[in-house]
Amino acid sequence: MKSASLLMAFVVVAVTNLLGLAHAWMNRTGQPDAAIALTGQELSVARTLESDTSIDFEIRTDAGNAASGLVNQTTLKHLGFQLEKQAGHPAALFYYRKQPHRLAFIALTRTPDPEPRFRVVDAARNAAALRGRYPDTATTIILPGVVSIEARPAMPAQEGYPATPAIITALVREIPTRIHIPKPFSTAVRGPGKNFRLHVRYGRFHEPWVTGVDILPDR
Amino acid sequence: MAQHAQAQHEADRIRTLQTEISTGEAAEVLALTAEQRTRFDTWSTARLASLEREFDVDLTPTQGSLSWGMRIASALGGLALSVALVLFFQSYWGYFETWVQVVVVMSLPILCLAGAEYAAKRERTLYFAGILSLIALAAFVLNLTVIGQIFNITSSERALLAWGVFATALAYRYGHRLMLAIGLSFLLGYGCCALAATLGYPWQQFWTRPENAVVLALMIWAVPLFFDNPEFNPVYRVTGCIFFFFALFTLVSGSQVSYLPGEPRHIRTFYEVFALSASAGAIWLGIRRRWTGQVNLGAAFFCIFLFNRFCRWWWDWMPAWLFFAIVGLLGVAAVVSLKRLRRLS
Repeated sequence: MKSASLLMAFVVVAVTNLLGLAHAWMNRTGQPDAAIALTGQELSVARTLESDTSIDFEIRTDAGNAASGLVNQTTLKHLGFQLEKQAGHPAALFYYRKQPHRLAFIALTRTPDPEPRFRVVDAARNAAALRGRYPDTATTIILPGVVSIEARPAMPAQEGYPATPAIITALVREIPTRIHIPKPFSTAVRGPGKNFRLHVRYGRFHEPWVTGVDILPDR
Repeated sequence: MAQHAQAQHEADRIRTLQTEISTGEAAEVLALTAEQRTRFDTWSTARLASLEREFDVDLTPTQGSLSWGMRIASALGGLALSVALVLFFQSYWGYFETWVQVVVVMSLPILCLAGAEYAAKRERTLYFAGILSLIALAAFVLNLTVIGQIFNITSSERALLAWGVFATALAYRYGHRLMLAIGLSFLLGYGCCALAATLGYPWQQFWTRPENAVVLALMIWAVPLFFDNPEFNPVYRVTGCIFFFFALFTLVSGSQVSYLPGEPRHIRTFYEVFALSASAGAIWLGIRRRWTGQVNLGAAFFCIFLFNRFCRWWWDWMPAWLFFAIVGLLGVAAVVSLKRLRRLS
């Protein structure tokens, strides 16, 4: 029993590492789903601790806010949400809150205005179908995410704010926007105030890897 | 470790008998002859020495206290060294090439395992093996986290399964209760996430369905009914109880969505009654079976659930001083009632 336990511990370490490396290799083989160049303005530094010496960036998105692009009823129904109650119905708040969040693939397109970032424009359960609707792999990336639905009640006019009607809105969360920058690319972008363009590809599992860095003249 | 516990029980019984025969009232009642006394002394001394040699049992209360101190120190030491390992790695790994990072994080848990096994062969009490196994677990957590970060792998609940199996395997290898509790926590977390994923929900939202945790916690609690291990049975029961009652508490608070049909307030009331009944039942069963940990947990959560109920009834309209005065008086009444019950039993 004790020898078997020890052997199991070794096997778990070996197998999980092999599976992780195999997963990463499979993601990078074949035709990439997207090949995109990200500017420093579209990225923000991601760091868990101040002492962490790795270089990671987060793509700036509007995820977490109300995703107006998903409000159309067809999209929400295709994602599996029930829409039988109107937004203003007395039981709408609980009816929509009780619906489980849905896994989906999210299409994000870069928008330069007012700030450079990626905006949620669509969602679907099938990534290939979504890519078919947004074929430009240089401006639109497709990532997995979680969509939730909620009903917001009507709000009367308040000081400085107009009245708003009751609406059904979708929220998009849990989008993996973090990108790890390996050496030698991390050496080029290490330090504050660097102006650069990061070349990123997304593989078959919609996971990114860095293929190059261009250092640009200072702004 | 189960054999060590049995050996310690035997040593405690022999020492108690030695004390009673020498100085207690039993010395006057038993009245051993000189020859019987000599034979008993010879046998008990030899037996204690044999137990001490083979199982490193505690022969005096002082040794027992020191052993407890060593267990606490080894747990805290292991945790502190684990944190140091993670922080040290984070401080330097950004300067290494990817292949170096991968080799280092993959090797760390293997090296720590080898170190723990070497320590186990050299030392019977397994304190150092316990420290190294904690560090090995931290190294494995670091291993998978870093691999995921390097290759930007989308986070998955399956890492919890790997960590849980690893921790549980080490717990059985070295008889380490804390490691088993950590392993069971990982496995229960994986179970909740996997159940959520199987039902079509995002695994990251597992906490929105605490009823999954209630069922899985009961399964952990029930493991000793099928696989008896005297050393680990309390760990399964206590871990199962902790997660069971915490999950019930989130349901009682009414902040999560339930599988049950009906109005939220009716569901919350149902879970309040269920929680109070379950905690009372845990106390009763723990007293009958002499499961001290379960009795204590049941009592603690019974008080929490009752306090929660009182808050819902009175907090909004009753002055705070009166609220706490009534709760205090009810506590006194409970002590009086339990004292009478104790006398009757």
